[in-house]
Amino acid sequence: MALLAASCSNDTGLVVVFESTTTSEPAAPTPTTTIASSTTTIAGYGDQLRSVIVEGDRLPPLNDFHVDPAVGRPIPTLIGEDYSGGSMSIGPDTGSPMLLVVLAHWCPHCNNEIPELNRIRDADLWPKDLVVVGISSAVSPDRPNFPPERWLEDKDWTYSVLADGIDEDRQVFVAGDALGVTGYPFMVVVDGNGIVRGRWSGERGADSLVALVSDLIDPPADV
Amino acid sequence: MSVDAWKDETLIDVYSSMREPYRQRQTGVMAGTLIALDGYAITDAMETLTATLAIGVGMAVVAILVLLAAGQRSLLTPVVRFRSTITLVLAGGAMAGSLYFSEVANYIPCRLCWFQRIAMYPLAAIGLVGMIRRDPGARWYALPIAIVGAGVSAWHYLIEWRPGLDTGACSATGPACSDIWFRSYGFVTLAFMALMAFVGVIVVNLIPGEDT
Repeated sequence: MALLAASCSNDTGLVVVFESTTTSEPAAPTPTTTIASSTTTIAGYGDQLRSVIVEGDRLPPLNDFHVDPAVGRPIPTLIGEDYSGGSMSIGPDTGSPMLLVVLAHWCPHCNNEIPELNRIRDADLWPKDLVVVGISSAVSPDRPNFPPERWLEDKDWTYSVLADGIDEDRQVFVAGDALGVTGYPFMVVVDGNGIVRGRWSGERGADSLVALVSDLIDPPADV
Repeated sequence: MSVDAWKDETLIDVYSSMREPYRQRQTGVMAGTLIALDGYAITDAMETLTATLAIGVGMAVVAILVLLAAGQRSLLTPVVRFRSTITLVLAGGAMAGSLYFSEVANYIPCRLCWFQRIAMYPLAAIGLVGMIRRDPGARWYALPIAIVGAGVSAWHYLIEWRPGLDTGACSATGPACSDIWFRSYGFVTLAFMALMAFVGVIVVNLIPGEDT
């Protein structure tokens, strides 16, 4: 295996591209792999950006909840870490239905939605075996509730959290971009086989969330 | 060096080089003051300064209204005389502040911010022309624009506190109008500052009497 790491300069700084070379050796990671990283030394960000690796095809941006081209496709695998440095991997081989919740610390709608998610958690209303995972994205040191690590603690977020990183080349947050995020909060329902069942953006409230997630994971018989 | 270590080291350089123009740009704003502040510290200082000025405008508006209610119009003669100048200072100051936060601090204006800009910037021009020409009729051009702007600002400030009244989601590609970039003193946001400037222009230009 040979991993080619190439860099070049432009007027805004270095652009780093990682790609697999075509060799007789097995290529790893795959050509669709996006690699991005972050560091604890960026002024202002502290340690709130972490390395995220995406394996597999990114989901298309969500433009219409009712006609979502991502439905029926497998989610990409997101490999990263939480704010305490623990390794995390979210992917189609998890084996359990998942609700991925992409949050932005500065977003007032995320601030409103987290208590709703907590209500469902406390009342134990989620479908059986559902795994809820947060993804802390769109980190901005200039904006309210920074740092997101403390914000999530203050909001009593007890689910696991993947800390997103920035792909400076494409000017995107890596995990958010891989899931096709177009707004916050952004949710992705994934079935036990890693297939996207639905995505949406915005506040819904506890009752609507439970009903929607339950229907997407276990559709009514007449649908 | 391992590939992972190389990636980490290289990306540190990338992030540093990407942020450096931003930091230099802000430091340059303060170049004449002999104050060497980090870019973030300058923005923080500007937030506090502009928030304090906005509170000052709000207090001045209250004082004017109290004097009017008390029938002390003679004390407001200087305000009446220089209302075009005051309009210029309020709208021009708000314009300068909005340009600082969008062009220097990189706070992206939302949709409602743009509507307020559309109202605020012409007010500065009306105040300037009214001041130069000593035109007592300038206030009648300023008032309707300021009233519309104040309405937009009031709505913007409301949805900052009640985001559920807005669209329900924060955009990933541009700020939702219910997003806030900062809230100084626990309540002063950019929308509040604009509201104070608009209300200041309205009150100053509504005081009875002809400026000469």
